[in-house]
Amino acid sequence: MQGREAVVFRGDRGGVSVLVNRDAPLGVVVEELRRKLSSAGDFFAGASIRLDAGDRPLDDVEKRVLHELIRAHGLTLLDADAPAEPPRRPAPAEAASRRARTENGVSADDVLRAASQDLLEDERCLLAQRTLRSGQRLEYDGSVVILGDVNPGAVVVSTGHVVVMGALRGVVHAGARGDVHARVIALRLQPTQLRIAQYISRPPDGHQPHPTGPEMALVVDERIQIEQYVP
Amino acid sequence: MAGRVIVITSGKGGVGKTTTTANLGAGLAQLGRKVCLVDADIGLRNLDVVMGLENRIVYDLVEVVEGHARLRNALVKDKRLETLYLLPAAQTREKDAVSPDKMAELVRQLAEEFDYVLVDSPAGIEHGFRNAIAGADEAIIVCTPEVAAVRDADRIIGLLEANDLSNPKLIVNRIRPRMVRKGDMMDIDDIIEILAVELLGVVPDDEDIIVATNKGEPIVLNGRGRPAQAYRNIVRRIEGEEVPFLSLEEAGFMDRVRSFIGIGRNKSH
Repeated sequence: MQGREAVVFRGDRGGVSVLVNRDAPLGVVVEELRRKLSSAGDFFAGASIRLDAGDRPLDDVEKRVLHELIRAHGLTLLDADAPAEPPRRPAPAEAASRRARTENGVSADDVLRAASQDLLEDERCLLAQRTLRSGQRLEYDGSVVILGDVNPGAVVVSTGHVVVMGALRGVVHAGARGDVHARVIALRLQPTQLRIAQYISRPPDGHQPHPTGPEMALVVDERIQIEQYVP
Repeated sequence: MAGRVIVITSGKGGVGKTTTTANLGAGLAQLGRKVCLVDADIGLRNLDVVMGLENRIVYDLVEVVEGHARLRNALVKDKRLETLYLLPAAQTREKDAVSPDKMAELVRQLAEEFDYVLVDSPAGIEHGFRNAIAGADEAIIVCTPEVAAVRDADRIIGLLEANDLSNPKLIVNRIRPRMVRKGDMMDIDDIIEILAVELLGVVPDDEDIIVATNKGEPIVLNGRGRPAQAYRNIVRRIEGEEVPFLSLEEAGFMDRVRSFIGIGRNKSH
């Protein structure tokens, strides 16, 4: 299992899941989980978490060890035996029709009904009230708003939009599951690299961008384009 | 009342952590404070050399932690200052000879006796770093005006925050005002903007520091130049005094004004 992580955190519709590598020995799993939880600080505090061992058999002792570790870090453990909810990504056509509906103008009642019917699934959003520093990585299934900076060496991966209410100097991947309509907006857009869906771009060599106002990156004609953000 | 435990760290190696620790310790002791310097760089000890105390070491930190030596017997008293002590690192052991818990216990013990316990952290973010920050109440980040050093400092600040050591203070070391003015070196504002932490002081790059370090004489003790002054200012700020930032930034600013006038004149010709 050299080079492969024994424990991976994933945010998805069901909340945060801890994926356990089936080949990793328990000691490694525990150590890595402990390290990741403590290096995350209070990032996960209060979050509900699900333990997903995949097809790895976990005996009762192993389960208890991992559960206690997770609880000790202030997280709530969801039923470990419940299978992780499979990602229910709407088919593109379905999503498009939904988007069209929203654009056609809907009444407040419609919106409420839509919410209750889980129709606003695409609107999931995480508010991160912190600056992401070098070496920190934020992954989220949905859009991300960051009240702070994204420093060089930090990485944000989101399946939706990414909004940085500060300086974006690190790497951001929006629409990570292939949504080419995803956008990246920052008060100061100076990224090391930008990715939207399958498109990648970076500032030209030897040219440090000095934006004068908020900017937005989006895919136009198969390329990432940056324009001034006009609300 | 227990003393303050301050860890001096950087992430990147070679930015001047050990020299900074030595000078801050000596500066605080000059003001009459009881100071203990702890070298947490086990296996690569340096602080004793920079302090010129290498030949006085009898026991080291690992021997104390393992119970083979008493703490008071391992402390090396400085040869110049009455109130300055050093707890040397072990040179012949590995970093994992000590655990963070043991280390925290040790510095707590020292804090009962000293006004300041300054812990010199090793470079990196592994075991040695975790030992160094264990038990610290405050952190000072040393950073040089280089992109890589700033990046590592940023990483370290994130790790410190995750370990409940928030609001670290920053010392920018080895700045060369002339290079900054020419735009060839990151300036303080660039660094502060990324790291978003409080600036404790700026130490100019100076050959005298290298000379003093090699002689085992912290420059703050007998230097009259700007680096010594810079360290003295930092010491006073640690003590809670408001000391204005002088010389460096001002010089840069004046020069900028001058160059503006110069351009104006050229245009009128």
